[in-house]
Amino acid sequence: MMIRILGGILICASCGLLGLYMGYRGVVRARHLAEFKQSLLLLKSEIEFAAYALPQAFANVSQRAGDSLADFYMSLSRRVEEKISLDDAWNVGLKELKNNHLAKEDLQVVCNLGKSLGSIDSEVQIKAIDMAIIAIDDILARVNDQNAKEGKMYRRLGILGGVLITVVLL
Amino acid sequence: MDITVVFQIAAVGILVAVLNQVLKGAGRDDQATITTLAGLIVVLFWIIGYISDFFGAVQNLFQL
Repeated sequence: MMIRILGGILICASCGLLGLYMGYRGVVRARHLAEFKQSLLLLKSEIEFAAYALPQAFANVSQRAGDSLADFYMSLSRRVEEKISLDDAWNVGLKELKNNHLAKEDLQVVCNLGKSLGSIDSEVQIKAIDMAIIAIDDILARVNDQNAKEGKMYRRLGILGGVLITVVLL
Repeated sequence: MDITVVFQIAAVGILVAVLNQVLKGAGRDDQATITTLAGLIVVLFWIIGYISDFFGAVQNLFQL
């Protein structure tokens, strides 16, 4: 009987933790999107006001961006200086992004930005960044809305699901 | 008949009802329906033997 109770507690705890994790994923996604938006604002100011070329602008942003994006911008700066096309460098950098919980939709927006950033004209680059920021804002609003609704649901579902499995197995 | 199965069915009923409310609150009506159906199937699976015994007893009682 003790083993059954112990097993039940373990199932409840693991399902509860799974629910917490599922809820937390959306929060992390929103945080990463916000970080990305912040880094794009920095990049825009580097191109628009400081009038730096892209490799230098990427290097500067890498020093001021959050930890998860610092490596991305640094590797981007290095690759562009090595004369690798910006589109390729951007895509390789995105693949190397670790622990990101960005969804396909988010990566699509960021990938499209990589294609447009390769333009020589800084006006076009700034417009492309603006467009990406608007798209990210739109996604961010939706993700935050979803998190408010689904975060609570996942937590409750996790615990209730654990109790249900325990009752069925007992 | 083991009385614990009655308590188990009651517990599953309560939990499925709460799950249903949580899922409906989050706007996932279709998944709420699937959960309810899953609960019903699980409970039917438990009691199908008892229902079979019951019909057997009725047949014997009335010599049908």
